[in-house]
Amino acid sequence: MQQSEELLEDRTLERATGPERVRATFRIYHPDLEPEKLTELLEITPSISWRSGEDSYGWRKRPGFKAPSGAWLLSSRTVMRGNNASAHIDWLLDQLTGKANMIKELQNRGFMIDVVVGWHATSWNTTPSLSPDLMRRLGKLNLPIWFDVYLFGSEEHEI
Amino acid sequence: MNFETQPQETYATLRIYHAQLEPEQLTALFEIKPTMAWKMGDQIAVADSEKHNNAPSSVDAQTGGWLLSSKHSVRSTDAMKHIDWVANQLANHGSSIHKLQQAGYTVDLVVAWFSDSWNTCPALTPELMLRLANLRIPLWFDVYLDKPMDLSVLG
Repeated sequence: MQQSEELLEDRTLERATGPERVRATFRIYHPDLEPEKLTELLEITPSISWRSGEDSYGWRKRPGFKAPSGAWLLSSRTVMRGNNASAHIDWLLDQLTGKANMIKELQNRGFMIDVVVGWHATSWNTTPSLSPDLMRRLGKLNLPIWFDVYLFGSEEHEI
Repeated sequence: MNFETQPQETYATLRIYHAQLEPEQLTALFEIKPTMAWKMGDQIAVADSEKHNNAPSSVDAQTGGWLLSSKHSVRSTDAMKHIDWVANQLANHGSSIHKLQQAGYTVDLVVAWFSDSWNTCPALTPELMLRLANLRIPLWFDVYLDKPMDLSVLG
């Protein structure tokens, strides 16, 4: 009985400090980025991509806004359901299995590559976490990660 | 990321918990003096109890604890410097940590992160993640949209 009460308390705390919406995105940026070449190299179809100078670029596609850089993004947003950030990151890393050398080569050529986890919370306290296994996977792919945390129902700006 | 998405204050705390935890044994094992440690049943002070008028100033510890915090050793709002400091203190103790975990001890690294902005961006480099992965320590950011407070006993 005590255990189930503790479990219930844990789950209540998890709900209170967890995100209301989460997504993980693998991002590549470079002024000279040609999306088709990266798609061919990585053998993955990006969620979205654009060239430098392209109008109405990105998720928002606002007319009159020109892309300052080329980009190639793979996001869990259209594939994964639920708000377990680790599952979103895991899915992303599954897609990148065996691509460590390609990522390293692109980084050496000046491409900016990272993983960003969009984390939208409706509370004033929230708790993004990473397991050792997930950190090992990210580290071996030489991928920095950052959590783009929005607290207390603030407006999220799509990256 | 920019200045506005960085924290007002941050610090990292290695936390080890177990009902049978003997603080002196862990201190001897890691050869480091903890920031704070107690046995199950000890009276421990409750952090920031003055914020809550009816809250007690101390409680009986429900489990043993051994905490090592960067709070008073690293002066920076760069969380990675705090995490790095903790990882440096634990260098070469990966197998000891693993043995404790196998014996049922809870071991984690919590990064307190106080933001005065609604948008804030905790980040980790691949190198730092590999260090923590090799030490088998899970990490979580305890992100607050609030002024800095002492979380040393919470959790």
